[in-house]
Amino acid sequence: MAQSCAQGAQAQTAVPMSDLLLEWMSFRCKGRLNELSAELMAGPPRRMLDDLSMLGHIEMPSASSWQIAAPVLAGLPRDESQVDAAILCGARTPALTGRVASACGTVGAQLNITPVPNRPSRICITAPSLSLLADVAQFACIPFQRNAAYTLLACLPGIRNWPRQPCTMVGGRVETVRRFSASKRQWIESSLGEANAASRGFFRIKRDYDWVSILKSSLSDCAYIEDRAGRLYMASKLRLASWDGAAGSFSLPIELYPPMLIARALALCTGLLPQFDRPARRISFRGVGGSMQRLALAITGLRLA
Amino acid sequence: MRWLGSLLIFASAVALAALAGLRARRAQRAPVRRQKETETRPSDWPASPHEDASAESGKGEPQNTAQEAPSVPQNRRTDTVEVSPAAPNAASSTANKGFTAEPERGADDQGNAGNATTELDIPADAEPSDALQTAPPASAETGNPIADDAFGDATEGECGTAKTDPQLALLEASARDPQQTGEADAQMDAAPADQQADATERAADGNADSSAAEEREAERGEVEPADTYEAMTVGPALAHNNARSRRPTTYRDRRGMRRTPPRPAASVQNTSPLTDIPPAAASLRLALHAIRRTVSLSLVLSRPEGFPEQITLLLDGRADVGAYDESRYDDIDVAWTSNLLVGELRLNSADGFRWIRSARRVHIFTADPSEPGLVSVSAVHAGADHTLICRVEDVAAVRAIAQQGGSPELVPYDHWQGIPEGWSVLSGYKPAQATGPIADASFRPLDPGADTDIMLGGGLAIRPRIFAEGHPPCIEIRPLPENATVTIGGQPALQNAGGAWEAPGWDAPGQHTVDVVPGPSLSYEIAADPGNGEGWPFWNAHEELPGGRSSWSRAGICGAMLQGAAGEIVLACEAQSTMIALGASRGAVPLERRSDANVSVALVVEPPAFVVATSGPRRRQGRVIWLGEASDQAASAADDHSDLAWADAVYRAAVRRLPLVGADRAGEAAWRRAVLRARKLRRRCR
Repeated sequence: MAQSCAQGAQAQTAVPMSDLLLEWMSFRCKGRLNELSAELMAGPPRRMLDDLSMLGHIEMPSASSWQIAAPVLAGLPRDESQVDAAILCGARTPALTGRVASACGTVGAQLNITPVPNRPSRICITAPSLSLLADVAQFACIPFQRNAAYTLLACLPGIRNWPRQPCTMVGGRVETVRRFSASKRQWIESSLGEANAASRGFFRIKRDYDWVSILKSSLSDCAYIEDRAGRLYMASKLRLASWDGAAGSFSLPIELYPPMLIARALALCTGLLPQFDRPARRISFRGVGGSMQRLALAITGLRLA
Repeated sequence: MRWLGSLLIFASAVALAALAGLRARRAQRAPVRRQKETETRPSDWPASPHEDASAESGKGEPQNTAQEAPSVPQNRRTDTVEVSPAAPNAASSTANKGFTAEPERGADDQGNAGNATTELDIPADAEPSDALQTAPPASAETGNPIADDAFGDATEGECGTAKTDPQLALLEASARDPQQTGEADAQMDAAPADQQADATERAADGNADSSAAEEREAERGEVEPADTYEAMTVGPALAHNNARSRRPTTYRDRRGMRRTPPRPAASVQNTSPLTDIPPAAASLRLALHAIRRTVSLSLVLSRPEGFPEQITLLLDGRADVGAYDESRYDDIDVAWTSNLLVGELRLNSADGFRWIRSARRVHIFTADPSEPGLVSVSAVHAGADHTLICRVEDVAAVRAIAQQGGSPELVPYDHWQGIPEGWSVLSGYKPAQATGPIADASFRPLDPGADTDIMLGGGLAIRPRIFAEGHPPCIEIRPLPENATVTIGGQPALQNAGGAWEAPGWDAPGQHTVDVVPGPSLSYEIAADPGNGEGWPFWNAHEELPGGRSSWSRAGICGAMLQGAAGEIVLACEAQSTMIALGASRGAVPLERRSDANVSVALVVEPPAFVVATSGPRRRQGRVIWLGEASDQAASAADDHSDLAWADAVYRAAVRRLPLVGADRAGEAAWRRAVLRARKLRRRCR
């Protein structure tokens, strides 16, 4: 009996654990970080959630909670030399994937499932025309998002207008104050006095019980802002981005990892997570075409090196 | 907490006044009522020595149709013992609702909740007699009088509360006749399997079946003397606004008994006058504060499917309680008074939802990995640590049973605050083996049984004992008792090649119960694939983004999908001076250009087929971009006037002979059709 159940468990392990995790989350629909099934985790929970969010499978209403995103066929950027393609993002269950496979067969599109180590498989549908992709989505009863990556990036605010919450500069006793140096691309020690006196800067301040990230856009304007957005804000107009048109690779320094939504838009160019070049300390998003990289530079405020 | 204490005191006073009035009335009506009692006695009442001798001959009157086992001898005594068989129809419907294992989730793997019952809702100011005037009395339908009688011992009178009526004392004395009890047990063992099965089936299982049946009995029964309820009343805070049913439900250990297969819902007639949803289970949470040396109890109301997120409980006023998660509500602190744990606990909400916890002699608590503190369970499990709450006079019996089960010495919580007089808390009950036969049925939940364990392995567990469709659990039973039968959902189960147990429909969506007879039972659920149902709706997950009047700022984002507030399609293109999105046959929406990026965005209702992009008046300064999606929706004549803007845009692009970019044959054909239609519309409208 133990062997039979072990065989059953092995059959499940034949299905990648990350796919099972996504299926588990699709059934649960929403939950908290500490509710994730430990058996299905292929890495630290927070890292898993970040990656799933970047791939468009989940949303994170807060740092410790998640909610599965609605399934959608996300169209990939169409290049003249490539066929029309789309990837399946969001919730994923056997019933849904079965409908998609059946729709592909009906319409004559091709379904490709590519395993990704420690992450959900990439399900890609290719078809001779965009209208056939739309037909696949219609038959599978899921929406079709045309050119998802470009459309998402086009609807995001620029870094200079990134959401922030006005606040006053921290006062009183603090443990640590750090300032982000855009030129050095690292945090350097600072002080509360320097933070107060600065007319512009991005500071991380450790109070008694937490850390806060405060962006000073002028002498009197302070605001809480997302850490990644604050660093990009300070690196605005610096020539730190690079783009390889032939390979379609758009790379940024690791210290300037973009906020989640911008990273998701860049990742949706291929449906794959960015690659990390450890020696160069840069992250690269693949499948980024000319129009996409121009828009990315406009949104992030960076310039090409 | 002070206000809660004050409310409890007030409720106690009101309850006592009501009881006094009832006693006075009863004294007047006693001769008449006693005659009626012979017909309508609750199943858990012992037989009266004043009964008609014909009662001994087994002249039972099955009240409900079907399912009765006429072959089983029935006597008056046994007719009235069993409550739950009174309404097998009701039982079936509630079984279908799937309340099998809900009441003690996580801690109770027996699946015999026996807690969820239907309930008679009595207004707070109503006398008990006012509410209980319903259908003809229901006497026993059960076929096995022996089992009923044995179970009947575990009811009122034995819960340690005083009875003031001397006649009732006589009734109890006869009920506790050990000879009768022993005969009952012997006959139960000797009864043919069919009769036993019928009897136990009619006795219903731990599902809400029993509760529904019990409620029907209560609804149909006549008013009982007030003082007969003294032993079974709930705590003052809960009793005041909740039903004083004629037959309070009592937990019965039905482990190892054959379960009645669920009936089709069409044959059910157990709908409560309040709601079609059967009552859910209420359990208790025990908190032991080691430093303060205090003991406290709280109610944990389960939240089955169909129950709302917010409820307003009728508890001496109204108490708003929110859902803690999808399976239960927030805890409700209760003052542990002497009477709180004596009888059943019933709660109603303002909108008709109900909860019940049946009466029991010993309250068993154990740790649950998904819950804080100790939660109540219906029966003990071998090898697990349990904490018990019982009457002081039952401590000796409990200790004796613990010794039989190989448990370490029980640890009392004497002198801890929060324990009312007459009650005892004992921790450290960890049975290592079956205790053996326990004469008193009310103590049988302390027997872990024959150590047979039902295990659910593998599968894709969404929640404890809830598995995803397509990934059912691997059911193992170890050790399997000799001559045991295994059923899943009432269907005979067989072992597959790997040794796991399967039965027809065992992996279909819904609630399932694994029954080992004799032995334990365990419920699990297969969650239906959401992809086959309502799916996953779109919602704007990023409302923190700055809004505005421009198109791009009004788009909602969920994963990789974008949508306008009214469901519009979001279209984005690299900007030109003028960009207009055109549908295949209607709809023309100009794209708005962003000031901070070279991109234009529009929210369109009709799926766009073309984008006309121009940067100047010359032909080479514009183009028509085929988007690749041609809508098949035919335009109606009524749309003609509203499509004039579309017709003008198409016409102008055609007149300028702008090149069509990115179009295949389908795209070219679509553009030709669009041009023709545009010309036709322009002629018609002029």
